[in-house]
Amino acid sequence: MVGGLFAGIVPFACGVLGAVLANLPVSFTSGLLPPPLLALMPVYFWTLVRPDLMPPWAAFVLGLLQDLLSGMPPGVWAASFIAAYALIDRQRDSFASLSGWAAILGFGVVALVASVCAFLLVSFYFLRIPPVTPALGLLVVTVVFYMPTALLLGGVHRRLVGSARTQF
Amino acid sequence: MANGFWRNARVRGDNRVSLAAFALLALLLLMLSRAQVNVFDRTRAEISDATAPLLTKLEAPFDGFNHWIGNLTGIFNVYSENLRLKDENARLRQWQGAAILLQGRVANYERLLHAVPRRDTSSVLAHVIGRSGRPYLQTMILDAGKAEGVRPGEAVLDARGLIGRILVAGDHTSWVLPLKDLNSRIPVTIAPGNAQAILSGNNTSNPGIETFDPRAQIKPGDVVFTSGDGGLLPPGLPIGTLIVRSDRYRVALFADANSGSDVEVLDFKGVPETQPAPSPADLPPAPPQAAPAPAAPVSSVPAVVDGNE
Repeated sequence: MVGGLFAGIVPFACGVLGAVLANLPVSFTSGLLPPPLLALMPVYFWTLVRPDLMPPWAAFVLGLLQDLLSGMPPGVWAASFIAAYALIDRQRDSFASLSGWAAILGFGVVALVASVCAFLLVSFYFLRIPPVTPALGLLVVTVVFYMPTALLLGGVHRRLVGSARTQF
Repeated sequence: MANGFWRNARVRGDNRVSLAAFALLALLLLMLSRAQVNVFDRTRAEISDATAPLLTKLEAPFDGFNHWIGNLTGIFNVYSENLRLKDENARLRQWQGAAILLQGRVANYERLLHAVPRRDTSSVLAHVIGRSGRPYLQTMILDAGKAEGVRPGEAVLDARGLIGRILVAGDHTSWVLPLKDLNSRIPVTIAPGNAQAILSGNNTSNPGIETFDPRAQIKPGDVVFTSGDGGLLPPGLPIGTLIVRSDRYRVALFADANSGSDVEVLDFKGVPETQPAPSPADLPPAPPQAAPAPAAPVSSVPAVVDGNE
């Protein structure tokens, strides 16, 4: 297993990489489909399996990075990621007991909370309600992309991070 | 998947305080950006400047792939598309003749009326190196910035019409805010009635239109141009035509922000409005004066004479 310090930064680094990849201004679909919220997936994954490596400040910073790279007003995705983190934190046992398609649904619920939070904040910021369809499209694309990404994150966790060795 | 397969750590300690603190910090940042909208713009411009070479290399294969997909689906429509283009070409040739005639007539009128010549607008040609279609912000990235003379707020056009405005300008790259984006609001004129309105982006392909006068006579098919109000954009730039969607007027844009790779950025400096000198007729009417005090009665008693006389 790699050193503790390196293992400690891998989850956050995966979040940063996800934010950067998702916000590259290129598209296979000519902008028809929005890019998924790749930065939210490491937050969800490691908040469940290694919360010591994904503290609230990491979720906040990743949300702020998502705001910066996506052109959104600072604080929209930061607050949304914090809302998602709070849900996972409060219902950790419930989410942990899910497996298979139910686990995807669990992530879908968390992504829904983040999306609704962002939608409300954007409505407040611009003082008008944006169209719902693009936000819904973002949610669907994010949940669909979680399936292969979760396998990838699992592989990264197994090889580079590992389980916590301290007794909780 | 992740949850039932991995051993999950139990939480030690309480995150509620830190979560509340970070949530409050995020809301404070949002309020701050509401008051001062350029909080992240400089950083965004520096990031796009730094990544411009990578984006230029990435753009070509993605653009080629999207064109290939588009051409693939277009194979099935070749015949009908050919007929449509022939018909459009014939109509445009008729308009070309009319436009040349009108151009000569306008030039004669300007000469007769000694019209003040319109200021020339210089432009910068730029290449699109990135596009993003996110739910709440759609943008394009150009490979021209302040070093090439691009400034925030300048109009961006393609061969068909106005695409949007420059949102953020770095040294060598700039971000474009398309007309259809939620953040876009520009003053427009609707011809032929010369109705004044605001074009509001709504993150759909047909932005909304809001006229100042609810009794304005507009109808589907009317052409929408920039009005030039406020000196933000040059007047007369073609934007689109009015259509009706869900019982509301919207605009079918001439330009397509999702296609095309070369655009023009207009360097327009509006003539500042000069206030006319005030005239006496502009002054408010004087308040009615109070009735004069009655004059003192003339006395028959002679004035007291100085005893020394």
